[in-house]
Amino acid sequence: MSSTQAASTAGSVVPAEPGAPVGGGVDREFGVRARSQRQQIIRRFLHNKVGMSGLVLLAIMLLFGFVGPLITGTDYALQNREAQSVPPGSDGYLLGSDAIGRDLLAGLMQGVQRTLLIVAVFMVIALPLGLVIGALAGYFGRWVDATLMRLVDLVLTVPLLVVLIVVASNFPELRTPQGVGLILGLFGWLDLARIVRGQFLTLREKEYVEAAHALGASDQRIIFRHLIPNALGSIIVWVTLAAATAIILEASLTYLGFGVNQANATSLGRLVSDGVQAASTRPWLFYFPGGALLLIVLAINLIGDGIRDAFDPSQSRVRA
Amino acid sequence: MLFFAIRRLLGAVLVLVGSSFLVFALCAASFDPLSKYYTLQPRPPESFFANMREELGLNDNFFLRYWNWLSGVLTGDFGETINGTPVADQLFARLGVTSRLIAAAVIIAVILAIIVGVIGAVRQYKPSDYTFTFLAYLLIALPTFWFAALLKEFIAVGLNDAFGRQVFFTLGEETAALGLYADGWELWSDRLAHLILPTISLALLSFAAWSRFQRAAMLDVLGSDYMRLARAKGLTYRRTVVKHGLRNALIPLTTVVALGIGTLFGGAIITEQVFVWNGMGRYLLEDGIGDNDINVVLGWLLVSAVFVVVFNLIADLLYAVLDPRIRLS
Repeated sequence: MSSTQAASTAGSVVPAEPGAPVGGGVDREFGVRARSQRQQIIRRFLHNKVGMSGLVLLAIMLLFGFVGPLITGTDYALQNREAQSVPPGSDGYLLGSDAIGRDLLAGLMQGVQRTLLIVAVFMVIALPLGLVIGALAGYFGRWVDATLMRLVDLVLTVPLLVVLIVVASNFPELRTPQGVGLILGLFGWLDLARIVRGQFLTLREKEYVEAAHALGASDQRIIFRHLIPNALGSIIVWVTLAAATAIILEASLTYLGFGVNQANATSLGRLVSDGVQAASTRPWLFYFPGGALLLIVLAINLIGDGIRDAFDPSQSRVRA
Repeated sequence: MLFFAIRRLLGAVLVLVGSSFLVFALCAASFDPLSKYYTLQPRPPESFFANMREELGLNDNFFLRYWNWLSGVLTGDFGETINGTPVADQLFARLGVTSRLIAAAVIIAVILAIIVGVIGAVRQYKPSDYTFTFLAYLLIALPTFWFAALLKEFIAVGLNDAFGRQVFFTLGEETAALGLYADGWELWSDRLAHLILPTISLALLSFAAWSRFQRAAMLDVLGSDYMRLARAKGLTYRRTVVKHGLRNALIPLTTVVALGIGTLFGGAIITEQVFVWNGMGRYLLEDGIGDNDINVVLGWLLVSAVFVVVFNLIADLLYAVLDPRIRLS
């Protein structure tokens, strides 16, 4: 990536044009306004239609999930014997209700909240784990790298969904949104560790790392102040894509009976997998939750792609 | 290249032993194969449980149990299920069912991914590119089981009604017990009719992600200097794209597909569950985890892990074939 921030130093060496204010320093008339790397990336993202539409879509879904309940005021847990399986548009049930008379609209709102909770728990666990393990392996190399990466390889021989099923089947008490987030987090860092390691392997050979070494910087400082900020692009892209994967995985686990399956626990994945059973009899229970899940995952994926393009514009053949 | 393959396979054996040990430890700690007898009324006498434990070897030391399993596997014996049937026979039958499901799906998905990916790259930012991109995004964001249910409910049921007879089957890998008396065309046409929907579902979902890879790889290649040189030499556009571009752009896809096939063999678990195909995935879920059967889980793990390892190796070897600059050492 090229940077345009050299303007200030270059400009002061070249004599100013005649007529320029004396001592004015840099002539900016024909220059490009200096932007930092970060400003450029944010600017590129803001100009990216795909990424921005994802962001708007996600914002709408979050508003729906968190502000919606304040407006409608219905509680999903409320069971109404008088209104079991009513179709959408019925009095007081905008999106209909399920077999035990719970409002689907309230359920969707709560489901969006729970989904966010799952993603949050997942990230809190997986992100630091993957970062630290990948960083250690990539930075120190040799036996640290060999040990940690063989460990990762070991777990990766088994498909992730299967690892999750085997683990989840052993802990029935984790069939809540938090519990599923925990399990996802404990096994979701493996690919991040690989990505970070790969980045570190190339980055640690760069001149600025050598310079930091020569200046006496500690390993900790080099990792956290020099290497991680430079690997940030791949890390952020992983965060978005992994969040989307986590949402889908939660729904799949729940569908197979190893996810959010406790009596009172709800999640978007649970609404979707319950709805599949009712696809032909009560189609609203099938379409609306599936649609909501689709929109959230779609939004996150779009944001991820926008961020990737912002960090690495070489993919698009049009100048950004 | 031969030495490379041999070294990789030797390393893989170690990984397989390691992961089977991990899974064994996890299962041994929590599985109780006798749990289904506890709730029987009247409860069987204590001597029954003692006998069962002795028979299944549950009283043995943890490491001894693992060693018994491992030494059995080395001689081709995958042990028995808790119901006393050999695991190896069942595994192969299940593997056959899963291969049928995957083979067609992967072939369709790869062809579609290459076509759509190349079109998307060559006609970047044109309406066709946008359409395919949007479609791919939609498919990637869909949970498998939801999409499969959609196909089942609305395509299959609708078409069956339109034809007035059962064209698509939504459950099972073949009509129950047909294999006992029918063979030849009758059996295989029945299997084909059962195959269509799961294949469509699996193929479309795999194709979506792969087409994005193919498009990205193709874009990368289209911008490179040797493409410009090929055009400057006077080759037609079509020829440069197909001969010079596509061949190089296939390399990233090979890895992704090879890795994907390896994982799929472990069971397109969800697809099998939705369409009630008795393949590897349902074997793990129902017979393995459902019955708390360690031998089934371990046998399943070994077979699917072997496929992951083998297809990883194939990906590396194909890499060297497609790109002569890559040397395996």
